[in-house]
Amino acid sequence: MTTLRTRSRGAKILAGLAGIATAASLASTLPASASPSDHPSRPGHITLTASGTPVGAVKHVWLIILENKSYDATFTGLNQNSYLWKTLPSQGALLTKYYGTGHFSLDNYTSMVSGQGPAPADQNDCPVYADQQGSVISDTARQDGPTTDRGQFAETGAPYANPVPGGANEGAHGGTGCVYPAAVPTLFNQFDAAGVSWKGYAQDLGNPDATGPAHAVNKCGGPGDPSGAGVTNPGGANATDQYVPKHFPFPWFESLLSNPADCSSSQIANLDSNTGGLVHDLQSEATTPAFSWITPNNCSDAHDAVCAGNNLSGAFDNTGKPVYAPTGKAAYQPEATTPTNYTGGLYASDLFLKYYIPLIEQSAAFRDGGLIDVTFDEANPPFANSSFNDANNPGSTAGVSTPATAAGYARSDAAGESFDTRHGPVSRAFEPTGPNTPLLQDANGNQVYPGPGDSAFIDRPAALTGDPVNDPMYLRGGGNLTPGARTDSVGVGGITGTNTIIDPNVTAPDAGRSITGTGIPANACVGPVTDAGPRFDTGSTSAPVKPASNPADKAYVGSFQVVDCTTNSAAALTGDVPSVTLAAETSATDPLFSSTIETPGGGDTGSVLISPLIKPGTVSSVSYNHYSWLRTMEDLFQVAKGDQHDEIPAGAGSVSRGLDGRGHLGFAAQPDLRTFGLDVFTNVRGRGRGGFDDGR
Amino acid sequence: MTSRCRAGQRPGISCLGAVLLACLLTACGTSRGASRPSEPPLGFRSPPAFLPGSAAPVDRVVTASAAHPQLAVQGVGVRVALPAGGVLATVTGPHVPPFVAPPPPQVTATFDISLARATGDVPVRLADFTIRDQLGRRFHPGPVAHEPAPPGAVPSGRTVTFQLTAAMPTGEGRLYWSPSGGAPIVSWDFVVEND
Repeated sequence: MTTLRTRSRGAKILAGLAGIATAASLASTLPASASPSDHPSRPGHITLTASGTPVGAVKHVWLIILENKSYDATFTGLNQNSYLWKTLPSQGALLTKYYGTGHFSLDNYTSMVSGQGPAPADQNDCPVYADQQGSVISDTARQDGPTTDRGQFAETGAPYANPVPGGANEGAHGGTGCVYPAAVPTLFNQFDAAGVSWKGYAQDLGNPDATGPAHAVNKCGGPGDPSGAGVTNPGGANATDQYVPKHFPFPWFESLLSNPADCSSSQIANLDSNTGGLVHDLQSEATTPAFSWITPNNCSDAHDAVCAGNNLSGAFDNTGKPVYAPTGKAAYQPEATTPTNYTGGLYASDLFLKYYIPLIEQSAAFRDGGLIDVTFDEANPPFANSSFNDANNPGSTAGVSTPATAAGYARSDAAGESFDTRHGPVSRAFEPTGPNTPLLQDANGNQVYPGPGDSAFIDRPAALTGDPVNDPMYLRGGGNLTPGARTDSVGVGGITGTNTIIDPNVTAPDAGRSITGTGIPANACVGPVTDAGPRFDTGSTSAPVKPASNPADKAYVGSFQVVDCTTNSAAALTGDVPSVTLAAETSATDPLFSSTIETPGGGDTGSVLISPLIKPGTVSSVSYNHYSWLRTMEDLFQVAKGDQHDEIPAGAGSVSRGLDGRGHLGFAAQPDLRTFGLDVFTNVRGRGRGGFDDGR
Repeated sequence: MTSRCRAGQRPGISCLGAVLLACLLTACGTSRGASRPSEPPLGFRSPPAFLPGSAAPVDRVVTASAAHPQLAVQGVGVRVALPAGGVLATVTGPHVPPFVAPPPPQVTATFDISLARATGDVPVRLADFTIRDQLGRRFHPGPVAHEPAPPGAVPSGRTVTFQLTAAMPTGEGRLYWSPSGGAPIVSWDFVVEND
């Protein structure tokens, strides 16, 4: 049996807590009717965390993080009445406005556990696993404003330390690396200092890899040694190992990597290990960590639409119930049973949740102040209430939609950073980008480029008059970076009198762009686009000589109908077409082409929390994001009581006290940031009155 | 059997003792589940009483019709009711090519479509399938090259499977099926991932 590691200094801190009557700045002291023996505060009072829960009431947290689904996709409309959409919210609280903080994956994970803004390479899921170079900003003169970067890590030469305009590392794809240095603390360092036990579980961690480079080489689950030039970071799953490091926060911080104890088997484990996995640890409250981070694999987290390996579909009986002890198989090893299909997406994540969450709920630890939190890293796409494509004009013709309006999107300030705060919807910046991804504003104060982070799915102009948009210091859009004019000539063909042009490079987003060239009639536009395929004669890397039948080396056959720009009716070619020039994209041809449109950051993913402290069926529409989540964990576990008070560096706070002296790291210390409150923990008062029923 | 402390009773020694006694009498959390493989055999008890039972239907097969179109998720069958019959329609995917760096602006997305348990002849026309992405852009999926084209109809009692493909950017989308040629009766939500 594994015994949780509790450090002596943590035990000392906990012992010291017993004599503390009030929690000063961290918690408020309010009258309550709970027995004084419940909490060591003065008679008649209990000490509450910033969330409104009594200190110590939340004893165990399980964070299960899924991938890339918007709130709309997960919690509305789908016909299968999924376990995640229907069952889990009925057991706890559904947060309808819970936002990610960036794109595509990794920056969300690093922000969640450290409060750091995204680094460029993190936004690109870190193709090369390498250390970042730079330092933590310690300028105390910048500490009070909501846009402060104090405590944030700034890459050397940042912003955009390694921009090569037009090159592969341009814009959000630049940077010096993606592993934060030891000077950047995490929630887990705070737990260490406060004596709070924790563990990171990852499904498939350490599995052999059927193909490609090893996914987990170092003991925190990283793909190798991040020093120097680093190593290639495998971003996808294979048949035997669907774990991907970009979805596990631990290997991205030297503050954990450099401490062997933090990457030991007692802290980092394969989810299904029979000696230290989740089910093993749940068997006794003594072996259940106070905080459990659970990363499903690239299939079970809904990332892959078609799974490379087992999706757990074989681990259920004909009625849809999990089979925990299948005949001839080891108990609690769902991947030991051959799957019945390889469907991924929310189908697969439902299987994962239906298998594991009942086990957590039936554990002694859950009954004793447990909190299950199911969330997503980002919404993909990021738009709330428009992910079913109906926010844009579905009645448009020729594949051209009308420009999207801000009405369908999350509210934000002029810099695209705010969603909501306790003082109003747009009063203070809520999702700052950090020092590595500055946002340029135009002369009217409108954000030129999307933010925060590499906000995908937003297209921006290639240039704005009067603005230094080509300055590589500034972040460009995550969508089409340069939607300017383009001439396609390789493989292009059209015959006089017809209205179809073969163009291997044409794609659906080109619809609506005006076209010119030999044989093309006046006032012509790209009409419906057809990209048929796949074709298997591409040159690719294994066949550098492109076949004559496929000179553009495309995996599909592209073509489009020529239409009159005004009437959208088919227009005949006036001659044979050897090439075609497509005009630059405009707001009329791209529904999200704008220099001023608001951006919803990482997007609304929604989140579900289940706990004895939450009334089943609770719904909260308060806006939260990953920084709110971090702040909540820091408050619930009182990390400010820890014993690591050394400044890192001077002026940038400490591990235990955070940036604000109250235990909040990085942007979790924003003065206006919300902690999950009584809109989430709706059963706290009942417990205080002694009327709480925890099912014992 | 579920053992509970009385409402309002603080968990104390007497209450915990009652729970332990009840567990001993009922073998809760020990060997009970070993003979019932759908339930955890060791170390777990019944769900806490405060958690509501699963009243909401999960994984049911719903029926889509012109009067009641349905939004579906991949992998879950939808019964599509047509004037002259019906079929259980299931879509999975999209399959995408292996990741290459730098990521291409779009990838070939291929969907597997199963039309099963047909009653009456169900027409299958490629033009009845359309895709719209999260920006409202319309795509027209086509057959996979070098693969047999889907039949024109699903004969009664038969099952037909085929693939459709389109080049799409990453992000979310919906695949629509309008088997009656008019408004879509069923659509499937999906996400294109190329990493």
